[in-house]
Amino acid sequence: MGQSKNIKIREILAGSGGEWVNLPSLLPASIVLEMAGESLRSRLYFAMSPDGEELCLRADLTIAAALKYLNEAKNTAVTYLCEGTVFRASPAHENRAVEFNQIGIEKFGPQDEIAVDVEVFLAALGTAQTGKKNELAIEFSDGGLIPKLLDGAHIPEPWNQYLLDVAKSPQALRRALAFACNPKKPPPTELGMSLLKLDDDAATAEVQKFIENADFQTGFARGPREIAQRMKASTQRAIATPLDIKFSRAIDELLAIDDFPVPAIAKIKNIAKQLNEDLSNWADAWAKRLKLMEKATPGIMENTKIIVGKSGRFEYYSGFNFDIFYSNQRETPIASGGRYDGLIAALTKGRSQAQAMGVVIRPERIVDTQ
Amino acid sequence: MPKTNKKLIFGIPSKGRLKEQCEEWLSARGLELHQVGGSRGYKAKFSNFPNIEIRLLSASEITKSLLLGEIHLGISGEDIIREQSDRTDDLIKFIAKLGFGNADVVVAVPNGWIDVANMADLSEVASELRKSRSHRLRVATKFTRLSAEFFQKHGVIDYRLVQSDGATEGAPANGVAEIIVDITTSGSTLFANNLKILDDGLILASQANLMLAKSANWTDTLEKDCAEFITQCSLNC
Repeated sequence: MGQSKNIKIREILAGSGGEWVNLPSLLPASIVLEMAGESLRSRLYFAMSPDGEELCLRADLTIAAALKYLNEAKNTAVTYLCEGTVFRASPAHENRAVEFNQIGIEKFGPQDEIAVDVEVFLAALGTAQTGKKNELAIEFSDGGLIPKLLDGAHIPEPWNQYLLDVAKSPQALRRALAFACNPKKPPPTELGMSLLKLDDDAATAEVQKFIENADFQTGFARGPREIAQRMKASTQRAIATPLDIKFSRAIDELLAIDDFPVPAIAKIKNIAKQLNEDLSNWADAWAKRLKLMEKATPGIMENTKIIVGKSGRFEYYSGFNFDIFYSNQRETPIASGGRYDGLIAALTKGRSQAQAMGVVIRPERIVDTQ
Repeated sequence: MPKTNKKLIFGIPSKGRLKEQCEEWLSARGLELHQVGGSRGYKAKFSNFPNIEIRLLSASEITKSLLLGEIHLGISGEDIIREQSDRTDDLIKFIAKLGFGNADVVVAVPNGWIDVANMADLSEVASELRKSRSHRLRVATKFTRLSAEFFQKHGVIDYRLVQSDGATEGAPANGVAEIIVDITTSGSTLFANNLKILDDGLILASQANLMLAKSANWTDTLEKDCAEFITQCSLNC
């Protein structure tokens, strides 16, 4: 039964073309952790290469596929179809399988973003529908929404950049907002206040002098210039007018959105309006995406929610993303996918860019109809 | 499944200052350690507790054995066992802090980073470094589990741990990492290497602990022996 299910899944995923590829099981741990973040470390299995490089067993197919793309197909449009075992240690107090099969699509290179989002999502939905259909539930999110909103929301400086820097993490964003809106901040230092009156060169010299007088060591990735700039920025924040609490409330309201797509998008647009940000283009793109999905699978939106503050995604997901579950098993998605346009740039430290969208299916989680 | 043992197995550090301090602590409670096979042997016994088998092990072997339930009791550092397992509180009962083997696990940054005093500052610097240099702040440590938990608690996200099994305090100067998480007693080694501890950078104030393995094979007799031993140590189990 498992074999025929996998064959069906492969057929559906291959429906939109692409080539089946083999991906390496062992990856450089430094690359995986640099991309996915240290929160993944406790789930990884590590190994050592004979020359001492720290390796890890792949925890998903995406990073392995991205490395293959960079090595073999950079700057072209490709669709990789991949299947294989991935390895994730079970969190404490949970009895999860530590190795399991994934089948997926990874699309890299120039692409019509919305069309590819829809194509990949529908392929994933098709695989999920090979099992019990009636109980499927879908969650959408958008990793690019909050950075986009903050970028255009006319938030006064110094808070705009401060919030943008942490926009990708709801937890860090909430913390930064609490600080920005707090009227009682720790007072600035004397040195910080004196630096504010100086231009960058003079402030750098002042910091250098301070460090030398204290017999401290300079260097270690941050020189006096970076330190002076940051001290000026934090002093500006210490004496700045606190951010209007309406921003914090609006972001809290935004992060709490968990609704059917149409009302969710309306709420998001409304919150953006309160912040003087026009998200019409963003909303139009979503409307187009949803329309194409609905057209292909009538009624699907009745089981679909947009959850703005959805957590648990790897950091490299930067746009539309989704999970497909059975409605009574939301902790264990059948399929998880999303757009990660920033991954190739991150892997190459900005030297290459590529659009990217992918999904992985957990075949064993698809419950047979028989 | 650990095999049933008729004796209570007790792990004690096999060498160094920690072993001496354990012996002093036990001796002060009327428990003289007699090493079997001379001073180089790896077994010992108490004359007044013949049903206790003492195994002389490294501090990390003691904690591993406790977590696996291979020994019933052991003395080792809290930092070591908490680093080895995120299920420590499920598997281990901390019977007593022994007042020696003190070591603080701390976050330390270059002292020239005069703008960084606490974890919130560090979080900002990590994000700035990632933006300007396209890589995460590197943290050298052998305490990867404790560090990851602590950094998550403080909302630091743009960092990466670099495994370091020795001379961690030299990692920033050697260019291996920007900051470290390490143990310190007085802070003097950190200071000598131009590092400072963050104001809220104490991850764990560790010391030697007498610990009990909940998953060891406990018979009624062994439980009774253990209770007697702990009473002898003037402790409440």
